[in-house]
Parts: sequence; C-alpha cells; structure tokens
Amino acid sequence: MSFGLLLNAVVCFAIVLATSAFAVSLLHNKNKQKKESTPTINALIVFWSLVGAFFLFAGLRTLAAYGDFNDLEKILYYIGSIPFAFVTVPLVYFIIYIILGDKRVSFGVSTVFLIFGGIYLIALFGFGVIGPSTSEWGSTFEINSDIAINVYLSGLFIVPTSMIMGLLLLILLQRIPKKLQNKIAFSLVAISLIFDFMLLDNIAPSGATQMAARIFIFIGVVLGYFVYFTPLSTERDIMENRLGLAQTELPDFEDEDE
Amino acid sequence: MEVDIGFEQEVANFYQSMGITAGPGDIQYRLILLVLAKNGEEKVTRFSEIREYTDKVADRGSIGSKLKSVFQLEGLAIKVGHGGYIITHKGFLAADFISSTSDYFKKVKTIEKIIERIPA
Repeated sequence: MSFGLLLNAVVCFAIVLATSAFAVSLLHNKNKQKKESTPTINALIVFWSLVGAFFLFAGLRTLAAYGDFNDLEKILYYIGSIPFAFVTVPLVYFIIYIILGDKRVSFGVSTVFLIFGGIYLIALFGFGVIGPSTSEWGSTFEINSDIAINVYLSGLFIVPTSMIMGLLLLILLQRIPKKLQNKIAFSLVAISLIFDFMLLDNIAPSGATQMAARIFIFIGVVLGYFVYFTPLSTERDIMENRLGLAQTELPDFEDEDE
Repeated sequence: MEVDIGFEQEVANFYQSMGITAGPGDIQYRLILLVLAKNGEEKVTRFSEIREYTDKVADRGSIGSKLKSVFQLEGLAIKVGHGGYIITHKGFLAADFISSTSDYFKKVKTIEKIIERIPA
C-alpha cells in the first residue's frame, strides 16, 4: 500500500490533536469568558470534540485501508458517521444562541438537526455503503442511499452553512472595532471551512479529493485555534476596547497648563 | 404610546456616555417631549401629568424651567391656560427624532449583546 494513505492518516491524527487541544483550551479558559458566552463556549467544545472524534475514526480507517482490512474499515466508517451526523447540532445551537440569546429556542432548533442527523444515520445504516475504494491518497465509500444524501445535503449542509454565512454578514456589516470584527469573522470562517470540507470529505469521490479536504480542515482547525489563543488575545481584554471602557480610566495629566 | 421612564433613562445615559448631553441625552427633554407627543395635538397636557413622569428624575423647578426655556421658546409646545401645554408640529418632529434615537439605542444594544455572546 502507498505512502499517501499513511500521510492521510497522519493528517487525520494531526486534526484530532489540534481539535482536542482546542477543546481543552476552551474548557480551561471558560471561566475567563463572559457569563453570556458560556453556552456558546460549551457548544464550541462539543463541536470541536465531535470533529476530533470523526477524524479519530477517519484516521484509524485510513490505517485499516493501509493494512487492507476492509471489514474493519467499514466498521470504523460506520462508527465515524455518528459524530459526523451530529456535528451540526452544536453548530446550530452556537449560531442560534448568538443571534437570539435564548437557550430554549437554540435547544429546540438544534433538536431539529439532531433529528436530521438521526434520519441520516438510519438511512446510512439501513441502505449501507458501497466500498471501500482505496486509492493512493485515501479510501472512500459511496453512500448507497438517496435519502441519506438528500438529508445530508439539505439538512446537514446547506442550512447550517447559510446560518454561518448570515451571522458572518451580520458581523461584517456592523461598525465594531476592526480587531474584534476580524477575530469573529476568522473564527466563523474557520468553522465554516472545517464544516464544509468535512462534508466534502465524507462524499469525496476520490482519495486525492479526500486528502485535499483533510488538509484544508487541518488549516481551518489551526486558524480557529489561533483566532482564540494568540498571545495578543490573552493580553488584552477585548471587551474593554470594544465598549470604549478602556478610556474611562485615563491617567491624570501632569504638568498640564490648562 | 406608553412612556417607560426606566427605559428612557437608560437611553439618555447611553447618549450622555457619548458626550451628547442635550436632546437625546437629556432625560427631562425626552420625558417631557414623549408625554406631550403621547397626548397629541388634541389633548392638553397638564403640568401635573408631566410631573408624574419627571418627578423621579428631576425636581419641579427644573421641569418648569425646561418647558419655558426650551419647549416654549423653541416652539415645540404652546402654553394653554394655566399649567397646560399642547405639542406643535415642530414638537412632533422632535418627538419622532427622539423615538428614532430609542430605535438606534435598541439596535446598538442588540448588536452588543450578540457580540457578548460570541466567545472572545
């Protein structure tokens, strides 16, 4: 078997490491955040954990493909489909809570996506998959169900992506400090990048496409991590700057003539 | 149109924090104008009715002075009889402007809350 498959598995494990580090860092920094953002932090932790779980099984699956263990690969694909199907749930909760600030509504809307995920899994497990089809760069499966593909594209892909884009547009149209605007925009772009390429990864027609998608996902995770945990962001309290509070306690001007 | 004293105070404080102390940032001006606008051109607004809203934020003298030096002088309201006032067309324009400052305040607060909910 090829070196490309091993490289693919390495990329998957790199994503697992990066998402785990991200989720753990978010958990540790939760107390430093404002109380209002706690539910969104929790949703993000769940989101990154699910992404990590998906790529853990994707990496193991790729290793199984490298060792030519087709049955094991199929089992790992099915297990990996579980975190994949529910990755939209925390994402939708995250977006709805940010926009409306209502936990119950956010929970209700994300439950709809939980149902979508469940339908996708039932269709996937019910109709099965065709494959694996192993190439030099990756191993892919074809979903043997139109229902699963339709649910997956309409419910799990288009709606959450539109929500991210809507929120991004809303933030970009506001007159808020550039630094904060960039931070929010980049974090949403990172989530969108990961989310979209994760879906592409799952329906990738070839190993090379899958490999390319995984590289973009890795870039997205690293981008997302650095948006939140750069030295600059830990040194400064963004809230102070964006609300102009930093200027309320100006130092006394000494030796002023007036 | 109901006049919410607490909300108007919040809006006035918001504008004051931006250095706008007169007009939108003046709670007395806001309350007097909104009470006059609430009663409209047909109904005479009694000074006692204005004081029902303003007593929590200002003394009687300040309100009387404001009515005379701003509202009457600038033609936002006309005095009718003893202690009665009626809003003018110019007063309605001012009231519309004050309402739009409330809308702007709400918009800013909504965006601020959205940003607060985004982990920074």
